[in-house]
Amino acid sequence: MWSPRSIRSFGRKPDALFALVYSRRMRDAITQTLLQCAAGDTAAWQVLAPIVYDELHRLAESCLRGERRGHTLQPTALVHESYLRLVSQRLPVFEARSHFYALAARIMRQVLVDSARAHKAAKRGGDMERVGMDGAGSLPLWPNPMLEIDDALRRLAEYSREQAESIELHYFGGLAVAEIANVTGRSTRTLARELKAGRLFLARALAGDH
Amino acid sequence: MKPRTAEEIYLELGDHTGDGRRRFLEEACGGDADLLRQVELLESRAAALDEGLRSAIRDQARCEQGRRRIGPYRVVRSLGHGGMGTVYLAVRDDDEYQKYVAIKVARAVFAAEADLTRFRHERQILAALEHPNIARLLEGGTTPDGEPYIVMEYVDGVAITGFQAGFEVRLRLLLKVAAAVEYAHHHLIVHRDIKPSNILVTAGGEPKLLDFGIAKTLDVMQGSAFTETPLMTRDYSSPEQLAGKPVTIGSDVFSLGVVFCEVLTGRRDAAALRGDLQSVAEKAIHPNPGLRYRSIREFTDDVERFLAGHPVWARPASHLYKIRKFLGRHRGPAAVAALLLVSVGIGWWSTLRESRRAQMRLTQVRQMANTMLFDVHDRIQPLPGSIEARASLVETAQKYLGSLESSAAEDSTVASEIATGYERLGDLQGGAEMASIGRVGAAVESYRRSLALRERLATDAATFRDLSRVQVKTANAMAQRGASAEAFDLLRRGTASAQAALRFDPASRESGRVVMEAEYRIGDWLLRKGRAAEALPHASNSLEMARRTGVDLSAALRRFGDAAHQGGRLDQAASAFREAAEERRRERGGMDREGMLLELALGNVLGNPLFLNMGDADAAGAHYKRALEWARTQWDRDPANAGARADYAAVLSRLASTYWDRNPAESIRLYDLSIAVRQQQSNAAPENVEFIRILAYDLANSSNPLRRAGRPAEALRRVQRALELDAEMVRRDPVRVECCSDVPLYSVALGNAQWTLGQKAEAGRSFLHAAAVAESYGVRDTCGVFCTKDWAASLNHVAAWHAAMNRPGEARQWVDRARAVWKNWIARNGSNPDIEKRLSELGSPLR
Repeated sequence: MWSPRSIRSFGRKPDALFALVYSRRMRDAITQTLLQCAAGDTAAWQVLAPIVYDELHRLAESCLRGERRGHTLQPTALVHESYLRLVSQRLPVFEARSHFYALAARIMRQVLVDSARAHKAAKRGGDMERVGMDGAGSLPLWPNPMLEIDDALRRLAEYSREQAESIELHYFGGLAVAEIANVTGRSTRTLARELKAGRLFLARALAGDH
Repeated sequence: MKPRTAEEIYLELGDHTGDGRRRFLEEACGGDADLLRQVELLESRAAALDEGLRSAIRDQARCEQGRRRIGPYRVVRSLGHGGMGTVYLAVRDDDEYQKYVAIKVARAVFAAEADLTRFRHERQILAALEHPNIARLLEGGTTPDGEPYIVMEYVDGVAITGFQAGFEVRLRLLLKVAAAVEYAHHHLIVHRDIKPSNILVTAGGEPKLLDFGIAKTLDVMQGSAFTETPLMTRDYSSPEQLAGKPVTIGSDVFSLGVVFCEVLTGRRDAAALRGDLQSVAEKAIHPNPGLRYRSIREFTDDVERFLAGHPVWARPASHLYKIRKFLGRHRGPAAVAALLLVSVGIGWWSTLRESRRAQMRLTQVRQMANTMLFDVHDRIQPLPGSIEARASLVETAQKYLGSLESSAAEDSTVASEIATGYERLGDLQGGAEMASIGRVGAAVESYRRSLALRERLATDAATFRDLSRVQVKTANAMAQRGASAEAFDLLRRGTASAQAALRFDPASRESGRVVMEAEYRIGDWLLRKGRAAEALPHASNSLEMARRTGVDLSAALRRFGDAAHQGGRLDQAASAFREAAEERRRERGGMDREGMLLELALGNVLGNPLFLNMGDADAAGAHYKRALEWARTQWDRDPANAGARADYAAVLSRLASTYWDRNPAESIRLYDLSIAVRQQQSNAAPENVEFIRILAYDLANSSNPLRRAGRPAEALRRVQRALELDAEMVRRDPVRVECCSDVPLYSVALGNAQWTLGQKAEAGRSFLHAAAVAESYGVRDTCGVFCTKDWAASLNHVAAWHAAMNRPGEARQWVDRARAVWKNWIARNGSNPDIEKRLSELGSPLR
């Protein structure tokens, strides 16, 4: 049988043989866990999160290294791809799918913020090098919008946790309002209003009004 | 009652659109224009935020263009997109000075290994084009995603039709372009897409021809898609090109003729020209290729004569007239191949005549060999009945390669090319290719020559990949001839080379693919030697690479399934095969050879008595029949194709085994068909040990239904013949004894036939012999599932024989031995229902 522990060990360090021989069963196991999440088992989220983080991170990384076909990869596509990779594709339950996307949306934000930080650090180093070499002076460092957005979202969460959650699911996970409603249990009408309010808050926050 | 603030109104606005929205706003704001403006401001801010948020997220997730690298080049910007992919302006910034190049990346297409090889090859030929008026092809490669790309000199200029100059200057410009086209024709390259946008004139007034031969090269990758040129270029395509006929230098003459008219008069016909020049243009763009100039040289000769004031030539096109006549007599495929050879040949000979220099000749010979091996061969390969023609092509190419190797192998580029040539030769001579000509000995010889060169050349990821590939191919061909120990050694080295390539370039899909192949082959070899336990990790590594690269997943699954099957993991095997079959159907949209192999594999595990199986003969039969239908069609299509024939026999034999009990007469009929094919095969290639093995296998197994059908004497004869063949095989390939030869299986069959014939003492001796041989194999730790199965079966037959001879004590002892054999295997590999069934049947009487 597949315990959450064995799944977690898969997420961390896949023993090649193990992962291969049982990959299909593993997918089924992840799917099963996902169904538990959908049924309200919050502990199951703890099991899935590291797996999804690894997968998304790997996908985003390989994207940034220029290994992936095409040069833009929408976060939504990344989320979708990780879904296809991790979850048994025969999963018929719409609910479970939106739960996965909700989880992935949160993680996606983290992956992108991590990558923005890393990029910023690298850029700084690069500019210093250039100054040293030809004395042309450093280029102005533009603030990375991703980090600002992350900051603004955090402030929004302090003001309204629901609004921040809706925004995150909508923009980072590519979930439509109906899907967000499915995950959060709030009505679509409420959600539409939350999204609008959230946008206003962020617009002001990013414009420096707050 | 109504919301008071702009924000509240904005939030309440909801889903209202159009009129509903306007009415809502009017009512909510109560005619307060200021309030209305505030609401609209909020809306636009929210919309801007929406857009900004999306693009920020997208940008962060984007592989920024500036960071995209193709080989050693950094992409600066895109120059344009086209049907075949994207062109980038890029710079090589590790150089002292920044050198700009144009890089064409073919759109992501799934390219088979053979296509890639050919692509690389044609690229090498193109790279040999060095002419001041041709944009140079600098290099080519493949991105880690497997997209082939071509790096070219970047030309900053205007299309030739936009270049402003006097009439004579433009005419001389055209002559320079024509000289470049002619130069390429002498290198056996047809442009196929001459048009103004491909002829740029630099600020210095120098014309540069772009995309030389690229159209053709990319064509290889794109299939028919690329030949559907957009409307604009159709203006410059020759009528025969538009009709989809083979493209020759005549097409380039036509296209250049149209450009000639347009540059001189602005019109794409000869109507606005006068006098001699009009006749020249008319002859260049004559719709009938036979009445056109035969070559660019003739065309430019006449233009030069015009410039010098001489009368232009009006010679009849006698050569092409003859070709036309020839084609009239030989319509169809032969004509395609012949036309190609003839047009290639004209270019070749004319160059030989013109050039006295040895270097020139060398280049020509190289190209001739390449053209033979790749271009011409591939073009005639799909044609029915082409095997004879291919065989003679291969021989000719071999001679060319031989003469090259003696004169020019020091140059590493040439050496690599020769190595590729020999490898290709080996493929054609009967390596792994399905439609081989069936000459394994010659193939090994060719591969060895390739290997000798590759070993010298291996220095980086690409060259180690090449080395690994050739090592594996050589090993396969050797194994077919029976040289096992050497083959295995080569496989190990092949795996090491592949790993080396991957270390150089860990993210490369191509390297991953090579590791995949090498790991698979070594696993396969171990399986054949009955070493399933050792094979499984290799099969897993191979599958891991397939999942990582997303390439050939179905094949990797099948291979893994085979290993699992032989390791006794029936459920895993069946589910791997099913996943593979699904994957394959999705990939191909129907049945192909791989799909057929998967049907076979599924049949084996579901209910083939010669394998560990799940006991469902009906289900197995259904899968085999599907495979049979396909194999039969293939063979019908090309009766001379050795591979198709072998496939057909293999399926027949599998299907026959499902009828042993259910319908012995049908089983015998199927076996006889299969045996006839295999006998022919073995006669045609007596040196092939594998053919002997499968012939013996069918002969021996057919004894089962023969006995049940009341023909024990014939059963006996066939098994005896099988044993003779087996002995012959072992004599030729002593290493094969290391694995389980089929002596125990055949000896049991022999004993059964003897028993049915009433030869009780002989039967006992046969069973004991089977048990003794099986034990000598079985005690080795390399004993796989077939070996174990045969061993237990032979012990069980000895037991049954003792029981039949009224020696129950002895019988019990032998049953215990048989049980111990299975228990030992189970301890190492686990059990499954088939083994449990076999265990429960121990001690049953002889039939």
